[in-house]
Amino acid sequence: MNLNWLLFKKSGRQSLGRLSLTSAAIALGVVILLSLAAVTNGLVSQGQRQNWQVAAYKASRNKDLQKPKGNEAPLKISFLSGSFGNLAKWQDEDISVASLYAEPTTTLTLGGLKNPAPGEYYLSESLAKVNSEHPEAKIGDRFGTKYLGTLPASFVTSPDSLSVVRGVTKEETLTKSDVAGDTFVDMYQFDFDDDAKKQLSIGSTILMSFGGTILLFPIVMFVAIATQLGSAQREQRYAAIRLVGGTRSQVTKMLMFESFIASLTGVVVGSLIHLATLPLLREFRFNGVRFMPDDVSIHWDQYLWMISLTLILSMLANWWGMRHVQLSPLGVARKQKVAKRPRVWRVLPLLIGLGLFVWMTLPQGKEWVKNASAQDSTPIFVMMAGVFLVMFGLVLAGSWLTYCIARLAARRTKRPSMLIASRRISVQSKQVFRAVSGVVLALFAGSFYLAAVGGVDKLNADSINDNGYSQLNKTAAIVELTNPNEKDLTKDLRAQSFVKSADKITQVSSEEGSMSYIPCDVVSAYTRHSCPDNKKFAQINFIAKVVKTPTTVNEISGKNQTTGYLVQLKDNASVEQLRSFIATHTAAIADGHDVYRYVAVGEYAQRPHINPAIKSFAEMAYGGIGLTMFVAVCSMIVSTIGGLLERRRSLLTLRLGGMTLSQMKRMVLIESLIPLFAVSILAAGLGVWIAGVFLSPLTDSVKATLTPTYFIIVGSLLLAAVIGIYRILPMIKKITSLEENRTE
Amino acid sequence: MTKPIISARNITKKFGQTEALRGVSLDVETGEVLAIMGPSGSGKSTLLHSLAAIISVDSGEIDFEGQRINKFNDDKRSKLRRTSFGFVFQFGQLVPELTVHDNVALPLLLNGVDRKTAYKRAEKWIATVGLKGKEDSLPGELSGGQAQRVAIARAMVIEPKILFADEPTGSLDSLNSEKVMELFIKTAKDNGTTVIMVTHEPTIAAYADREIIVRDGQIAGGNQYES
Amino acid sequence: MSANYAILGFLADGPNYGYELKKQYDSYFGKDKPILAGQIYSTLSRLKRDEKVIEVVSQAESGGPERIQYAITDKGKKDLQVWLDTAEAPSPTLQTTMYIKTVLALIKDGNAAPYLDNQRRAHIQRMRQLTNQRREVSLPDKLLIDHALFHLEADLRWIELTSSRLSKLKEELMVVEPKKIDSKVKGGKND
Repeated sequence: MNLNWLLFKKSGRQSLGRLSLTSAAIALGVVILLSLAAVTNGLVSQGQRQNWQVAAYKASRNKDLQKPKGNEAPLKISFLSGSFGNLAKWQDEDISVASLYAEPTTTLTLGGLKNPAPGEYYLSESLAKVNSEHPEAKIGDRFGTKYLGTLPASFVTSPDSLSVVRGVTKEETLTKSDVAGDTFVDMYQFDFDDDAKKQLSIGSTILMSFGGTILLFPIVMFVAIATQLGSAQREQRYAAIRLVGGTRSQVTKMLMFESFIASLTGVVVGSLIHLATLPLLREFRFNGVRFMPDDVSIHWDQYLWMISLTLILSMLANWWGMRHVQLSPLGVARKQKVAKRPRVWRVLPLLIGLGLFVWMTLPQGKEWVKNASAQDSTPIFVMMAGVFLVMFGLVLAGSWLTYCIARLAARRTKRPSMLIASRRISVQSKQVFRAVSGVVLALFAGSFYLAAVGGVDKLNADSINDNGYSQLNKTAAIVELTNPNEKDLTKDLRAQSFVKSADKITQVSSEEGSMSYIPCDVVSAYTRHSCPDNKKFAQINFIAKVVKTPTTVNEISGKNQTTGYLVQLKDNASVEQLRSFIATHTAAIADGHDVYRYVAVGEYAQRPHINPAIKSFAEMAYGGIGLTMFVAVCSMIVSTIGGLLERRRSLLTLRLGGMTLSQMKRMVLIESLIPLFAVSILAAGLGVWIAGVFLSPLTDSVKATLTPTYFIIVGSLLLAAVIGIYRILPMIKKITSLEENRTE
Repeated sequence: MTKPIISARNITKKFGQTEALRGVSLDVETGEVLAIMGPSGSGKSTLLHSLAAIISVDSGEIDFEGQRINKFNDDKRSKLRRTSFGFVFQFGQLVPELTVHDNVALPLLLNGVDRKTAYKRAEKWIATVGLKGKEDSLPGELSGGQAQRVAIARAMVIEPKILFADEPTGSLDSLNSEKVMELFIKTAKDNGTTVIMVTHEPTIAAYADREIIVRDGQIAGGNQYES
Repeated sequence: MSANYAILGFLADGPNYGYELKKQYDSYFGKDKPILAGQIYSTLSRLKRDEKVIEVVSQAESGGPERIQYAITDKGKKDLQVWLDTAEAPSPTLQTTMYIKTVLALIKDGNAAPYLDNQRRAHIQRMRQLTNQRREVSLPDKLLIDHALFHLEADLRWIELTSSRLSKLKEELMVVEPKKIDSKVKGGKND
């Protein structure tokens, strides 16, 4: 039998715990890596599905990009749903509308699909399903008169995408939009460049690598710590093999074999878990929608790449940890290394990173960020680099900081347990800090993200308050029409079966938005308000924030008066029928311009609305941080246990010298907690501060905020760490039991 | 005959099925240097550990200065060890992360002596064992003989009533053994410290005033031979 | 000198013939250099003179010639006991005597441990004296003392080892040796 295999088997039982830890850590890492890769693939493919839209968008910016090859006519495309106002909606979700106009000589098609003639339309799979399930809503009627079938998947972003491709008349292609000028662009081909794909992959690569680093770092630390466990006994074993004449390469092979088996187990288990959780991943909503199931998968070449890298790295880590033994058969007898004290240069990267962010808060820095971000995304890259610098700067500087704090504590303290603990920390600061580095990193990343998304929670609450339409009663809807020549619809509306009551209101548009004048006798039927006095109209601006009590007036004043309606629906679902009714009964175009048609219902307005991208980002952050912190605390505990076992002898000596068990427990607690708390507070503080600096140029809506959730999460992380350490304290009694350790 | 400083009466100790001590009785006089000899596995270290309150005996009594120490709980034992007993063992008695100075001051600090006094006294003892100038070294930087001197300094720093030693020169060559033992005995005699040491080496036992031989968990042949 | 005690020791086990005593002596102590028969008889006559043994005439079973057996007297027994109880003055060259005492103690009492413990004490006591002396003497004397100490240590190691092997030794001496004596008789002619 193979000697490596034999040794592996013989030592299996003692090594089982350590090897399974390694395997578990690698499995976890593999799951995360594969899931990240799968989602990245999903993102990239999603981007490719949007290629035709991006091409049209680009062409609208730069007409030179689209040139005919011969004499063919262009395919005119518009993605502006201007003429639909917010009628292109299903309940709460937007329906994306592509309007197409093709001449007989047009050759460009949507992947061979027949170009729709005016009045004809295609629906995405998902919208078609909605349409067939809710025939009374007559969704199709909003977009045309003839349904041609479903869109091919390659032109749909997600299985949840609600989208329409409709044919329009030549007349409609000539309309001007109030916002965008020309609404239609001439297209001759879709696959004219790959920029879209590239750009998307750069963005998502940054996102994924940033998140991935934060997620994977604690796992890498964990693997490193797990491989170091019990190294004393193993060193003895391998040194003994060297002593009886084992060559260096033989020992290396044995080491590699062992870690290979452990890593391979981890990779296999991780891959299986990934396969098992893939359906869940496919349910994952990024940006509010799922990915196409087949997009969330890993190509074989990617898979092979990742697992070979994992295997090689984990084996390298193992080899690195055992390199002393390979140098000499006297590995067993090697002397206590005199640990070098950490140098100040370790703080340098952290300081550079911090300097960057300090500069960005100064007027010059702010100015630069403002100017540069107008042109391209350089500031984002710079800030990302800064975050990385601070992150790894913290890990690098941690041991130095630990050293300083321990020195300080040693100088001040009177308690022997504190003194011994801090002396030890200062001598072995690198080792001591390594145990908590994962937690520190998790705290930094966690604080950074949580402070950033903490704003989202606040945004959630604000969004209702900021949405004036939430003043409508649940089943009350408002219809706003910008066409001043629209005929009176009151009677028609009242005749509809889904309408309980309908009343005409007058809207006056101004700079602040559109002020609605609601007759006082009906105001309480449709809104939460009522008129406190006997005036004729209540004045409500639905675009502005919610007001406590509306102003009341007797006269409607102001130019640009238009007509709107308040409708009491039979039930909430009837809003779809109302939308379809408005779409089919009002003009979409007036004087060659889009008409703005808007239907809002109280029910949906009273729900919080935030950007789904921000929301999914926040969700990912919470999930990721939970996982990271869990792994970090695990690795801290494992490494503390490992440390205790390695120091068995010196702990025993302390006990022999009369140190009581409780003094020793306190000492161990201090040893773990000093570096943990000292660097954690710094890490958390920096994380929050940098999140603030980071966000300010990026978005106006989200501000770095410390929410109770943040304190709960960070607090529970630290608590978990303390409890974890506390739970292993009883172990000290066992390993330093003088009875167990008699030497004879 | 003066009153013994420590005396054991009929003590027994089992480790699982193995009877390490089978009814050992022993008196040790104040200021006496006693060697416990015997083959490996005879129970001589167990006897030492029992006397030093490192392990608890199963039956029998151990009196130290009128206290029945075999009944002490762990905290009281710890206190006894750090106030009245000193230890010099073969291996690992120095805390590798602490400097020589810290190591020697350690028992005093554990006793709640203030740092200034503790370090001052430690300094004195480091000088006594001839290691002046090595205060800031780590144990890893010392030779075996030097480490053993530090151990003696650390054992003596609390001016213990009894000094326990287990193969105190176990890993040293003859010359270093002699130096360490001369220092060890001289320091103990100068301070009137009682010494109880375990050794299997006759040359080391020859430093003692008296020796007993432990065989199969019992003292062999009684104590006829008084010097 | 120790031949005296050897013979007394053998006789402590029961009366025996001179020739048998020689064979017994040879098998235990004379492996390298057998004792001369004359030496046995001269020793016996000296012991007889000192009243430590007496001659006993035994009846030949098959009517052959009378043969003389020797038996130990009370005085002889006492003398032997005193000798056994006395630790040898520790000196670098007393291994043979220590061995003889161990064997005789085993033959006589079935236990040599008390003797060995005694001997160990004497040795350590001597080493203790030397160790104390060594402190006050010049370096050349110190080296001499060291020499003596290490030789004594060698003795002590032997004592220690023998102590650990006593039961095994007893077994071999009591059971196996008589057979060896027989084979020695047969093979003796070739010597």
